[in-house]
Amino acid sequence: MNWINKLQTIDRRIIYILLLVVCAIPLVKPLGVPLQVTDMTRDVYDIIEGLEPEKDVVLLSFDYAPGAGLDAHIVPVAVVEHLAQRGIKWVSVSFNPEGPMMADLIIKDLESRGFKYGIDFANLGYLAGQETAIRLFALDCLTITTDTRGNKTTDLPVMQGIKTAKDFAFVHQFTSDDPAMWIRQAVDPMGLRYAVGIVTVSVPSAMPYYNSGQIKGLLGGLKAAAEYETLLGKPGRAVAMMDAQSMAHLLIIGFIFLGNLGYFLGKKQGK
Amino acid sequence: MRKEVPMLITFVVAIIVMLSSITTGPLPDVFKNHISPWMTIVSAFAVGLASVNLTRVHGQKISRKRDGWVYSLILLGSMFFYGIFRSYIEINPSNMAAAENYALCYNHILSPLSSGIWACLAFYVASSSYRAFRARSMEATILLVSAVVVMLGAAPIGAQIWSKFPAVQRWLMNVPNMTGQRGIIIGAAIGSFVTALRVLLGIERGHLGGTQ
Amino acid sequence: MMSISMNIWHWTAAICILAMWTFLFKENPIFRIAEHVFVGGTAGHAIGMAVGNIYRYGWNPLVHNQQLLLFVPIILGVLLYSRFIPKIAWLSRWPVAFLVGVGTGQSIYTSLRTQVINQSLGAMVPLSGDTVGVTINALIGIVGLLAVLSYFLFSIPQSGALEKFSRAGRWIMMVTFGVSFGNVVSGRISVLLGELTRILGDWLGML
Repeated sequence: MNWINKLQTIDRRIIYILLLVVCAIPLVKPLGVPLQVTDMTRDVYDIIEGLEPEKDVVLLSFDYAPGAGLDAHIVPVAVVEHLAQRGIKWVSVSFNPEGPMMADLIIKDLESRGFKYGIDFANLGYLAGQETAIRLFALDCLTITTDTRGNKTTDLPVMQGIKTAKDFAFVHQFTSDDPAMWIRQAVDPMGLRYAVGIVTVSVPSAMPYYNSGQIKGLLGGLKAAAEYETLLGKPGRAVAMMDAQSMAHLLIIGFIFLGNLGYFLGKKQGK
Repeated sequence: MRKEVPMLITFVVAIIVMLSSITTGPLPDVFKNHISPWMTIVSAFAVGLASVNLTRVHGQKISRKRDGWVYSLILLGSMFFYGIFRSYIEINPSNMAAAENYALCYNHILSPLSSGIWACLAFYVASSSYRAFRARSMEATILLVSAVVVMLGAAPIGAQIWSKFPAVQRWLMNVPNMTGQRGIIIGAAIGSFVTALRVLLGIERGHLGGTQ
Repeated sequence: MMSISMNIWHWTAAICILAMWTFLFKENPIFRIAEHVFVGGTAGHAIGMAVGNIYRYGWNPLVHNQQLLLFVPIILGVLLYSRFIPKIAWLSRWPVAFLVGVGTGQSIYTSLRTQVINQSLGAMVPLSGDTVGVTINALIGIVGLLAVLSYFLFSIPQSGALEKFSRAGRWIMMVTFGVSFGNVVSGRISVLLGELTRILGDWLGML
């Protein structure tokens, strides 16, 4: 039967166009499907809610590149918004060459809203060496002598009293890679309180670390960012995109179903 | 000596790094004050290797005017533009005007190019899962069902179709997935430990190259 | 309502994204230009960051603080490039040996602690719980883990009870891969949505 064959051989360009349409329409006209918040997201929220603005400083490690897309970038945007709301100071460092540029995007937005570089936050830039660099920085944060704007690290008000990673109240990494590097080199040896924001693709492989308590909170991509925006009471871009995500998932599941239907009908035909 | 000296370097450095994690005394300071900063510098030099190779390959293409040499010119032009500009900013970080101009070029050219090409994967995933994802066997069916449940549970629409989808998705993530991932992590870690031991003892010499 | 941006940078970003997407239909000169700008630019940016690290952590302390030992990593780093000169290519083994030594020393201890010991401890949860569900989950956790590990025992013949046990491990891994695939689909769609937001929002002003 021709139509059974056709079920399995739909032109890929039709799939591409349908995917674009199905993603674009809910972006322009959101459906407003309600969102449930998971424990992994709530854990990070609760940690930041428990911090003290007068004395706690948070370390943010920006370890992703623009190629990871909004799936990686939207998580730190939500977390930094929470830190800003609570008046918690933070310092960023990167072990990926493109990390400092991603941190600067967020810093630029905060400065336009009146926050002060050096006092409320700072960007220490990139340190080469991957795992060795993480361990070196964790043991001696003043290894990085100047920040991305040429200021001496020791002169920055936000870095006062910080010598090792243990002096930070909380470490949050944002990565499109493996969180195991930070866990191996700093979290386990020094007993740091650590959470990670990773791309959706990497969430399953990070689950064992969350389950064993090595990661205290796990924010997995766009969905976690949407949940975080919901917890903050400021639904934004992430929440708006979840409707489009839903429609895209339904489309792909529909196509998988069609392909399998064609396969099984064809097999039955063959018998 | 051409293989023995590098093997000795590997052994000595590995022992220092390993013992610096588990002992007190001078070794942790040797790691912190020497080995680690040296690693940062050598790693930074290593980053340039790819660029030298790119320059050689594409430079030859341009000089011999081979097919597509114009694209090679564009590649090298882009590399030198960003390389020189970024190097200037790293050496003169207080020049805020230069940093802002670089940020414009980075955020509106390089960043969308990078995320644009990765976004193509969404289209490929859609098309390839339609074309190739078939429940041909028991294992394939388990894989297919898990994937579909996760996709429905992860998206808010799943809860509207069946209220239990998110709970089933969470169970799949937290129990069988976590078990399988844990097994893979432990297996891979044991493998990496064995390989590291082989490198330390000089049994594994792949990193030392060919027959010279 | 659509209100197209007048900002040249929004136009540039949108053109870059669409240039990459032209490859979805077929390879073409516009895509090739975009691809080569991307590859060159990424390499150039990485070089710039590397120069910064060498300047800050090598050159400055060497010249201004007389830390003469820093000659060692700088020379090792330069020796990496000797691989392009056939007569002295063997010298590039020294910095590689240093890099491999550091990596080896790190992974021997830390991967055992973090990924074997701590993960094994994480699997050892009490089998009795508040509900039957907790007990079943704990059983799946420990028995499943052993089954998955038994699948990777390649030096013992997989027959009899071991074969059946490792097949259970395979099934658990199928669930793992299915979950991973579901997350891959989610993740890739998220990246697409980010780019669509740039096009429809920043450029066309429709959001």
